[in-house]
Amino acid sequence: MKREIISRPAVVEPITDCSISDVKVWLQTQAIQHNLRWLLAHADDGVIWGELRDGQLVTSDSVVPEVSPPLRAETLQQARLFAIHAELLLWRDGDNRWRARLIRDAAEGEDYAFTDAIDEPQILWGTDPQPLANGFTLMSDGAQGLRHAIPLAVRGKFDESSRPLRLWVRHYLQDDESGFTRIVASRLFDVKLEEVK
Amino acid sequence: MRVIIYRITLLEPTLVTAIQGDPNEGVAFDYIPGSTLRGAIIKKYLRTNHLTELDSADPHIRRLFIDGTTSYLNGYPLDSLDKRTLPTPLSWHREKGNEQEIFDFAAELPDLPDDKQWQWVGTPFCSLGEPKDESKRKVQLVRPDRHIAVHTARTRRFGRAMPANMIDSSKGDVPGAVYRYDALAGGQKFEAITICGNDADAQEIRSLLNGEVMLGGSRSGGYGRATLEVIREESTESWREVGLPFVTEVDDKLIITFLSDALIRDGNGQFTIDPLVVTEALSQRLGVPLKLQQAFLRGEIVGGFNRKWGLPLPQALALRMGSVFVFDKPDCDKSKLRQLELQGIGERRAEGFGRIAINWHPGAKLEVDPTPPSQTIRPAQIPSDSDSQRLLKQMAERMLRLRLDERLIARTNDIHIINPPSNAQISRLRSILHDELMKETPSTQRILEFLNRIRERNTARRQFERARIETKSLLNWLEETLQDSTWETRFGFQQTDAPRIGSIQASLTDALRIEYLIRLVDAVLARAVKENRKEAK
Repeated sequence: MKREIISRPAVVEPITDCSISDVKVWLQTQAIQHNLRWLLAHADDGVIWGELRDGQLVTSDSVVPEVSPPLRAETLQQARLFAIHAELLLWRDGDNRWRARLIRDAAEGEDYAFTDAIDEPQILWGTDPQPLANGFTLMSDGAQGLRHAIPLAVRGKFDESSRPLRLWVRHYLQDDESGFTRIVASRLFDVKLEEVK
Repeated sequence: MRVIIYRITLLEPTLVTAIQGDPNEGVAFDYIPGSTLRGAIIKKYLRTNHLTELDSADPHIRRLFIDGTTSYLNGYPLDSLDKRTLPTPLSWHREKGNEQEIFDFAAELPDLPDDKQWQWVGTPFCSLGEPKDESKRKVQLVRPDRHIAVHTARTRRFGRAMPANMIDSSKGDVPGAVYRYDALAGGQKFEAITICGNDADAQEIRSLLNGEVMLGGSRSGGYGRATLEVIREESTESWREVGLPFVTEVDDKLIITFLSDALIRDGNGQFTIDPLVVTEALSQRLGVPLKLQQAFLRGEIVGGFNRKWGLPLPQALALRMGSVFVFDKPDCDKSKLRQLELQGIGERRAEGFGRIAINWHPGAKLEVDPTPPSQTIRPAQIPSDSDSQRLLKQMAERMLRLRLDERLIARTNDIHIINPPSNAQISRLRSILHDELMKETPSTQRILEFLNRIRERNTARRQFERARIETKSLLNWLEETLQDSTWETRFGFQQTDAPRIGSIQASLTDALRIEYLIRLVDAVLARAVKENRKEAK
């Protein structure tokens, strides 16, 4: 795949209010405030997908609790709320304290932290879609029992050479003091279905 | 706080795969990761308590396995004194060609300009002896044994490997494939540690650290069976992971060595190995600013598979074990340094990430102790002329044949006949080759006689002389190959590469030479026949 360096000035903002009692409510508030659409969360007991719909954060545990655990502050490791223009990352540091930051596209004339970026589609597991309620799909893959429930409607059957789901990641580049260009930050910006040839 | 030290004996090869190698290859770590040990112990906990699932939100479960109150450190191999080794510091270098002396660049950098060719020690684990008078400290370097095997994935419905276009995934078919496992060899011993932050939990955990467990992947394929055995329990007040007395400073320096991979994030939430970010993280933990002098570090992508999720873990960039940071001696209390050593740094500390040693290797010069690692399994004495010896010989010979078969395929793929003879001509020769291969003791005599007869027949001779392999005519290549006495070179295989089981080593006999040369010729001609057919279409 050809990678192209693009100019996407971006700003990093620390989120200082990490007093979380109900993590779902906290994430929903942040998603509304920053206009973020998708949720991908990793918890001790599973992977949770979600989408903000009509001001409500709808999560995969509501449609397939046997695969996707509930969003709970006790078990959450990290969560990413993202949209084309920004991503909020919430993570638990080594001392069990919540930390969060927002990376968003810079407004015109605004000071920014990063300029150059490369976009990368990462292939998500799933060859065998099974429709669920509320516009979710349970994606299964292989004999190992890989399963996750995504907030997208997927139809058809795919083989290993044409997994249709893509998680789009934007990697921001910066030169270090020795002149080497490195990826200094990455954020998710979309999840979508790739057209299968 | 209690520390439980336990041994892991691998009863079978163990495959805890790292992110490296080809797609059709599983390469195991040189050690047993704490996350794998924790997973095996969780499984024992579930079995003991008749549970099917772990409630990750239960405070008791979180304390035992998840929130870092209890840490499951990596299992590292043992040295010749049956002592747990540790990752070799990345600051240890030796001069090219000198295997005996090690220079620690963290303690003292070489004078510049320096015309010596320095290289990293290159062995993954080491153990450091106690200093004796003025002599150099002795170091044992340890590399665990590996077990390499080639497997074939069969399509169950057909009983053999099938290409992707012949299978039906709705019937549970998987395409056939050849894959290679590079695992930790069975029979080896490793030592691991569990640190219990809650004394009351120590007894419960201790009972889980005995008995049989399964570790890593391919468990149904004869991999991963192991036993655990608790060796001793200590209090954290007297215990140090490096097993040596605590030294508060080294020539006005603080040397921090990472005893396991460490996951450290910068302010953007990005995992990083930037020495300045690591310095900042360490400064925060010690409560004093640190001034970095030198850093010897590498990065490592860590991933893994979470059985609870049924999904792979997100990959992250980790500071590699053995990384060394040298700081100006900070103005901080010894207790803070001890605390840092005990608790570690960064994320996933419950799985043994982020372990730290302070001023562990203060000497600039070290000497390699040539004592080989302890034999964890004593070789059995096999009476000569016994059934066991015959069986072992047969096994070694079969292993040798497997390896030669691999070389044969690789060699065949390198040889291409340009302008090959007609398939009718090739078939005549191949039927003689097959006749010979069917015999108990194949010979090249009849084949060479047939090649002589080809020389006498105009049509056939023209075809075999017109066909070329590199610069030689096919006829010359066939004669040379079949009479090759240095066939080992042709196959890139030496007697020393022949597998050994105990004291019995398979040998490269003349019968094997003749058989494999005939098979090589046959395989090259078979390929030409296929290509001729393709062209005819």
